[in-house]
Amino acid sequence: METTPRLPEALRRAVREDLRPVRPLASPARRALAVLAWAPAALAAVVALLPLRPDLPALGWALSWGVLLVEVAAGAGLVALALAATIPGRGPGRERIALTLALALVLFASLAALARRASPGLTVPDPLVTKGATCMTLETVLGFTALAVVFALIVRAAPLRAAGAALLAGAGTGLMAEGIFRLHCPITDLRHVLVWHGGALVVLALSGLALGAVLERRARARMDERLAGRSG
Amino acid sequence: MSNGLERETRGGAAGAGRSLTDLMVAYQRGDETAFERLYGELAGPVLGYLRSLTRSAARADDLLQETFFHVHRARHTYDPGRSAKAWVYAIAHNVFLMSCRSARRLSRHEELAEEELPDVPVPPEAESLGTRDLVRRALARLPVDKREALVLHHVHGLSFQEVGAVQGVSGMAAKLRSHRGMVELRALLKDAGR
Repeated sequence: METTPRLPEALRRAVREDLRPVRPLASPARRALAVLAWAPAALAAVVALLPLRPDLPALGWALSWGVLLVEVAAGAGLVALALAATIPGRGPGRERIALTLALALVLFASLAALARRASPGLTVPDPLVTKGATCMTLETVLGFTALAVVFALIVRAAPLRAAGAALLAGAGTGLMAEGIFRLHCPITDLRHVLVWHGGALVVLALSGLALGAVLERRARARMDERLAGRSG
Repeated sequence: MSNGLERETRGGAAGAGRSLTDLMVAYQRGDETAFERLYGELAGPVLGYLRSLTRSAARADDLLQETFFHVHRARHTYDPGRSAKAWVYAIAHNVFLMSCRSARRLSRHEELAEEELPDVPVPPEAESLGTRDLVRRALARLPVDKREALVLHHVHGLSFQEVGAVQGVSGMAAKLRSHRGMVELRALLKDAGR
């Protein structure tokens, strides 16, 4: 069909200069399990540094620890999908990424609504303001510790298109952080939960997207340099 | 994903009886010859694929080198349980998309593309619909996603599952793109024949 192009000397040299044996990456699910190890450490930190919400008995096991497990597991699922997206030919397309993110938001909002039905929580004068910034900041910081780990795994895969993967990673770590932080915040008013806790999730997702975009831009700039070098 | 396609490519001059999966595994272990053989097996088809996407011989040549550069950088991401061919084509697809985002270079090459229209591979199913040149020109007028699905399946022999993996869509969506591409190609050739 086609004649085989000659192997360019520059490419042969580049390969020869870095021909160390490499071990194939573990599957995305296995690497996501490594990120899952972050959850107990984060939970221990939250329990040690912050008081547990006083309405845990009213929520019951399912809506407290159960919801934590569901959100952490769903977040880890998003992280696994993010890591799959860094592998050529394995990643989800834009539509699937959008659908997955929408499902994650629906899950988060549904669990918040369930908790509200089970417990009125702490009543505060203005749920849109009181404790909002504190909750959002702490949850975002917590999520960033996980995002840093996942982003390191994304960089290791040297992806050409990292933005979608990093967006999923941000959303996944945001969901995991939300599940854990839920054990501390006693406010169940949906305005507080959706705006401030949902805000933390969105900030983490957008931070992932921004980090991925930077990675992509750097890869593109290096490619442009090489192409410009070849064309003289 | 099946490795059947790779088994089919055995016995090529460069492959010397080793499957693409075997070559990739040897390459991951640091075997330079395996890389050279892999290049020998895939550079031609990937170049044809890139030409069909870019419609520019010069740009496709550049992107071919870029593709194999990234194959080297990302060789640890290849999973021996999956299709090596789809993995390499997916890298070529990503390299093409990245190059499209560089507006400056894109505009330069698009001008060239209209003038040159390199010898892109023609699906065997379409050869009877018109002269090779007519088919080539009609193919170049198809939307890039349909053209890509059509070329990957009908010219390069990738399964729809593999085409979907390359394009980041489901196998069914890839099949639909290829089918619609063929329908549009036939319509274009019919118009051209009037």
